[in-house]
Amino acid sequence: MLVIFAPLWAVAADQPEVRLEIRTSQTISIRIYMRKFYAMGTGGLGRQASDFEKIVTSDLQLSGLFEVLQAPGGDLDSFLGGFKNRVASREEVMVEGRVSAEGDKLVFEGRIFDIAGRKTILNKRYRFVGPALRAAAHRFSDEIVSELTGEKGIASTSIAFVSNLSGSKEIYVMDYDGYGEKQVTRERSICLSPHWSPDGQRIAYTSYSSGNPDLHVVGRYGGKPYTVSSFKGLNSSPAWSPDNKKIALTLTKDGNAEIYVLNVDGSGVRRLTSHPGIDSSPSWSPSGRQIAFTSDRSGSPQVYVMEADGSNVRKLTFSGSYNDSPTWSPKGDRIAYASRLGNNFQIFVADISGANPVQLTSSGGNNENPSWSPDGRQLVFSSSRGGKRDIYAMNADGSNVRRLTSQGDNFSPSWSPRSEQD
Amino acid sequence: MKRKVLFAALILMALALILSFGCAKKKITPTGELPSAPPASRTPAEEVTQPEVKAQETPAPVEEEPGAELTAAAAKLKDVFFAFDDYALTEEAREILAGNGKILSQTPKLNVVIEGHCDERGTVEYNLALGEKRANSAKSYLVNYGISQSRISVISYGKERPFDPGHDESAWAKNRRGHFAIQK
Repeated sequence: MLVIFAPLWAVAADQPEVRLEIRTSQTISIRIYMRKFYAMGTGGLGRQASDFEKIVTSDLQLSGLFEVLQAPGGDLDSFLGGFKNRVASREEVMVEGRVSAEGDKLVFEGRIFDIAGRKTILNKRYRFVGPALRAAAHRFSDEIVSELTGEKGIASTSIAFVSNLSGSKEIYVMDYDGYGEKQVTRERSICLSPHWSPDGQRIAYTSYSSGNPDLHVVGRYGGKPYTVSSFKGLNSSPAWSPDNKKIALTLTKDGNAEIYVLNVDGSGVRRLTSHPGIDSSPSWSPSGRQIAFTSDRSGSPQVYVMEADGSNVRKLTFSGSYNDSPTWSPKGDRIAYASRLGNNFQIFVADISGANPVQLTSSGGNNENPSWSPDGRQLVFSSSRGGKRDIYAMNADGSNVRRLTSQGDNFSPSWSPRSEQD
Repeated sequence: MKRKVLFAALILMALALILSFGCAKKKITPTGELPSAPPASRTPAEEVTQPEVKAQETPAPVEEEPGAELTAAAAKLKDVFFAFDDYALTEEAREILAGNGKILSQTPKLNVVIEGHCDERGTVEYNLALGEKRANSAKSYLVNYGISQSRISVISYGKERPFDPGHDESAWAKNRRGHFAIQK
């Protein structure tokens, strides 16, 4: 059987590329009208079209970059006619799409239409098997963000975390919006503290499967993990370096919890800290030149920053009796951490000098282990506000908190980098 | 007007194409109107794939069980408890460890592992380090007592294996412990 697609919303070659100026989340100045996505042909794909539309709408809303409105149904010409002779207060575009079948696969075609300019500014076509519909929708969302803002989207990113859903603590990965949860390790032991490689292909974590807390690495889609380091004692709190080559971690092989750096194959172990207190939880600056970490050298756990060679240690947090889990923002200008306030832990963010600490959460229970989205606009963290630990995400200013997991005990989230294919 | 003519021409071209192949079983019926688009080669479809997650199987380990005599002696070893965010031995902890030291010196074949545990407050990573500090505090006492350090190993479980799953001070107090087990 032959299925022919008539040419649709193709962009003419002589059209200038339309690129609206880059926006920040504070100034949402692009309005997107979502037209109802529809199914083509007789395949009964109405649900898929509607799912696709829901996912894209949610992605665009979660990005915090747009005002997203539902366009009225019906005739397109009359919809567009309503914009005639009207001075728009902001850039206005329309997004529409349709799903059809092609053999045993689905095809989505979607576009962005510039309302004032009356022209298509992006036209995309994806072919995929049914279960990849969410991935295809996230891809389209990222294309929209990229086209309209010049900034890469995060709709195709993932979150790794620990869950006891299978009966033991294992590493799981889910889409950034909480869907598509998949178990990545099957060590039937205790797996902790997952952290992504900067290329998004692997996850480092601590595993007790040998009886000792060793450092393991597993592919993001699972498979057999390999052991990076298995020094007696802790091989814990791994942090992959931005150049993909090294891992900073906590080892106790020399008798006390210190921060070390080693190559991804376990070679070249180098000690960075030297203090009788506990030094733990390293986090690289995006440049790879500095490392934030937790130390109780002052008598209680506090956040410190040092050069990547261990020199020039300075204290970052001064208020609060317990500050931990520092994580450097992707733009390098801020550090998020968890701070004990009364009986609860809350998420804070401060400048890298420690100045201007801002409290982002204020719920009951403990809010811990913040991890930035790759665009720096959101944070994922664990919270026991609902009575048990779950993974939550929020905007980087503390707004728009949403729960991403529901079953089991879930903690230690790590937001993936953008995937290589984007 | 010009647009509509162009659109009609497009439709005709498409129909002609379909007919020329002679097997247009599926009639393409868009359920929504599309505005005129300039004719151009169609956008190539990008393949979106869904990688499979591979399960990893670990072989079932064979474990050797210690004999009854050692099990009985080990059962007499008592756990030691700690204050919040602290690994210093209290007076009570020292007394317990002295008792454990006596049992260990009377049972030379008994090798132990001291598990360091923490309450649920604070981060996973910090508590792993704190748990190991606690286990090492207990080990140091026993080594000073005269037990060979080769007979004592330590491991920290941080806050990952609480004895009491509760969320109050009574549960936390039980969970801040150094737990003695037979070394396997």
